[in-house]
Amino acid sequence: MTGFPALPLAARAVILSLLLVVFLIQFFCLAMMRRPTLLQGMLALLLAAADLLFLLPLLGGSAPGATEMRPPRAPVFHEIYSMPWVLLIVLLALLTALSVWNVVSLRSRMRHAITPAAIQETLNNMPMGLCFCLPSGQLLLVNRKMESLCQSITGEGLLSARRFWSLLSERGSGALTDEREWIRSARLPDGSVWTFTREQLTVRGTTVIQMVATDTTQLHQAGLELQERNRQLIEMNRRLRSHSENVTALTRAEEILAAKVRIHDELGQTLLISRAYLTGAAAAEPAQLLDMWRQNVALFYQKARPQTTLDPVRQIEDAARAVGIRIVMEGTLPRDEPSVLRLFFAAARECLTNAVRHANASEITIRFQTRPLDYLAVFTNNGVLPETDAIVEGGGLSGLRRQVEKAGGSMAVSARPVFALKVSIPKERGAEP
Amino acid sequence: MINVMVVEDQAMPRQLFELLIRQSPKYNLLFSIETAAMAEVYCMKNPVDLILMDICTAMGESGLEAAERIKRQFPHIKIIIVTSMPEFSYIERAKAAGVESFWYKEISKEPILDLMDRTMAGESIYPDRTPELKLGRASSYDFTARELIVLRELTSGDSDTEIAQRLNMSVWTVRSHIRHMLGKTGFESRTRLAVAARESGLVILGY
Repeated sequence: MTGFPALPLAARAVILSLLLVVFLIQFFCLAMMRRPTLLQGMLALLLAAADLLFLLPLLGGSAPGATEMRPPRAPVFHEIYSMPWVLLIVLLALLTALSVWNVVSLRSRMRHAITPAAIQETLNNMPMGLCFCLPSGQLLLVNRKMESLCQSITGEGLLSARRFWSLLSERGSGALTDEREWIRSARLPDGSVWTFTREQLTVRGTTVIQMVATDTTQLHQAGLELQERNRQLIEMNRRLRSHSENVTALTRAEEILAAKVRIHDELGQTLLISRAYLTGAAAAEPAQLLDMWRQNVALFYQKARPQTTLDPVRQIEDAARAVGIRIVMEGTLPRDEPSVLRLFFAAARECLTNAVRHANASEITIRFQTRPLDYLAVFTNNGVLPETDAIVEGGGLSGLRRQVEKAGGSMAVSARPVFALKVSIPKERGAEP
Repeated sequence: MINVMVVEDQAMPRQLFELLIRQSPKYNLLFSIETAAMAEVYCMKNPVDLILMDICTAMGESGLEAAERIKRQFPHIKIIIVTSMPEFSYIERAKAAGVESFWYKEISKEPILDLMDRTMAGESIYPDRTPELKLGRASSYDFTARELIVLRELTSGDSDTEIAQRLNMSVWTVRSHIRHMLGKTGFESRTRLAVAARESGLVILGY
């Protein structure tokens, strides 16, 4: 049985150096490893230990120059020492193979491991701005984009996240307001719009503030376009409304024209028939002819009278006169507000009706007032007072109240000292005082 | 003598009515006014027997509303609605108010004097239907009553939400009606639909 000592010196030297190399490799692996898996760590340890196990006794027993082999003292060392050299080689080969495999897998792991440098590089390549800081404002991690954003917006480098955040809302170069505390937007000098959000994270027990900046230029642009479209829509609706009113006037004008054409045609016909009759070319009933002429002349006569422009005051006065009531008017009617006029007419109707039916009045006083915020009309009469102090609003008055309140106005009826009806219609927002 | 009140804001037809009434031995012109605003006041204390009432009168006052009020207070007064507007709801509103007769200024074949005679005799004369109007590809008869109500509100230029609120419908219903009408007429936009509707006189807001 030949053991290690039986090998020639060269062979023994090779084996020993191999063992030494393997040991050194495993040693360095252990030293350089960061977060190895359990298997890899233990394997490295085991291999190193096994290596030593072989190395020590073989070294001890084969110091160069020793002619006399001293057998090792420990029993296990003695076993190794006197192992048949074939078995020894096989075990060594196994050991070497395992350690090589360990190293390779460790290297590949290291290559794929995420190091802080890798993190920094990845973040720097991201298109959005990132900044991690502590609640105090102390920076933990800032990426290139965020740094450049800060430079563009504030003109200084990013030193304190807190300061940057508060500057974001102040900076004149287009900070766009938002009521929420955790989001701010700013326009850069180059025209792009960036939105910054602030979020609190808890990482391994520590509170960390995360700030993310994203390019929202397109979103902002779309928002502006939408606003513009809405404005145009409102404008178009306004024009549609006035179109409706114009059509009424236009239709009237067309009808007047049509009537004029008809009259013209009738006159033409009358002339033709008359001429035929007078020249004896055709027979006609003189009485009928005379009638036609009478009608035409009457029409011309009426046309010749000047057209009176419609005066709302006249309308009320004429109606009152027709029922024997005199109108005393103070102040001026808001002639340019047709909806207000309509409501005041309705009130005047009610008062006239009441004056005739219940109060037997001979005179109604109407006071109109245009105030800064509303139009006011106060109606009183000189007739009999209502029986009770409190007025029960019948169909007419309650109908009037409904109309007035629908227009956003108010109405008040009182029986003492005289019957008085007060109607107030608010002016439209934006109207001149 | 039958006392007549004429409520008509356009000079031509008003003068024509005045002329016809004056020339007739049967009728006496009591009042001739241009706005329906005060029409019912005139009926108090005055023996008005017949009213020729226009619908779209001066100052935006509706003769139809005045007729409704007068019929409530003075049921014995006969009213003939006189209009040139083909608005779809006028005939049914007039009937609902109890108005005796209805006369289209341009379209009705019967002369107004004959209609007045027949009405005073107790007849109630109405056109069969509102005139048929063309709206895009469609005829006005193709629309349902609900659609026409929405169409009228559409000419106001208000938003769908406001229209839905006014009509007590859901916004979805309003939009669905508008969509159907756009399909029937072939118009591409609601604005075009509203403009065409108003210009045809099929719907008139405010009277």
